[in-house]
Amino acid sequence: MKTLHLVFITLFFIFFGGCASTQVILLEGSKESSAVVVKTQAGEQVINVPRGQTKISSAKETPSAPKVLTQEDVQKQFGALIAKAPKPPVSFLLYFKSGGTVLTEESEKLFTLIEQSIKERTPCDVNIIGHADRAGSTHYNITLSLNRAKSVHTWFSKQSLDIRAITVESYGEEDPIIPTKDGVSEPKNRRVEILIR
Amino acid sequence: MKRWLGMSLFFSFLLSLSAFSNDEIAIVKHTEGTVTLKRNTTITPLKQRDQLLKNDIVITGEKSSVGVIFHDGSVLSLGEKSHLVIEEFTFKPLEKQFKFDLYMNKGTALFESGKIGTLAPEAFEFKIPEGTVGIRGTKFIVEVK
Repeated sequence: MKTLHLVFITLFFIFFGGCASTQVILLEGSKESSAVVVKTQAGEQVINVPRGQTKISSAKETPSAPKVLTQEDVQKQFGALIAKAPKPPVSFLLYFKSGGTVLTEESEKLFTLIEQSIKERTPCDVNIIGHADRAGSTHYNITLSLNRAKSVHTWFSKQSLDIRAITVESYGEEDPIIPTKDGVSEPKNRRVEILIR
Repeated sequence: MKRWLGMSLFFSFLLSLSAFSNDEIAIVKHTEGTVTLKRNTTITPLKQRDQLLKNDIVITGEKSSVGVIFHDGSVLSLGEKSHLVIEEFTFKPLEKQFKFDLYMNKGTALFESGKIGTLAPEAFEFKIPEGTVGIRGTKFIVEVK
């Protein structure tokens, strides 16, 4: 499973207490080196460590120097909110054999996981985006990538999955994972991206 | 002549349909308690599966919460007694057009950035009465591009 096109770098809270003091807390995201910048008229504060917290008392004051909260503090104050947050979207890449709409054997196996991811995210929307490599003309690749996306869509329509809306798109050879010269066959670019959100 | 008029009406209907769906910017994943949507001058209860539009205002009551996923994959979860305005949302990766502004004047929010946070962190701003919260790019951005 690859999540190349969806990356969650930042996670934070904002909280307004009774005495008009705002706080911002950076949470652990799935990627390292995420940061938030909290700005007022007076200045700014960067938080770049997990569970780092800054307090802001007014627009005319610089946010407080970051303080790192303990896991327990965060859970106690915001555990319910964290638990209720919707599951982030997930994306899958299905690869194809050259020149057609036949999936590679490895990609065939992903459908069980795709089905499960959809069930965990109901109600959800799904985007199916077809891509081609640069072997063949631009025009040919637009049709080919659309046909790839449509073949995946056919699979979806045969399942009894509770999906609110499915969008089928094709980017032709315009959005490669690995940029190549024209005419080059590149297995990583012959793909359909499925975005479940 | 009549037939042409009918056809053109039909097409403009189709166009307006597609324009409408393009305006949708987020899906409501869950609600709990009293969650209200203020759109222009109308106020309606917000339900699971509803779609949100630019300029929508989401309000939660006591012991209430709402979870939303934006079209770029950003996750927003509001706790009780919150008031949040979706001021701006443009997500057009192929045209490289991004803009995302939220304004919360009270309440609790959890926000997890999606594609806009990765592709154009400078285009995102979470506004609060005292100032703004922005996100900084990461090493990973380079990798994705």
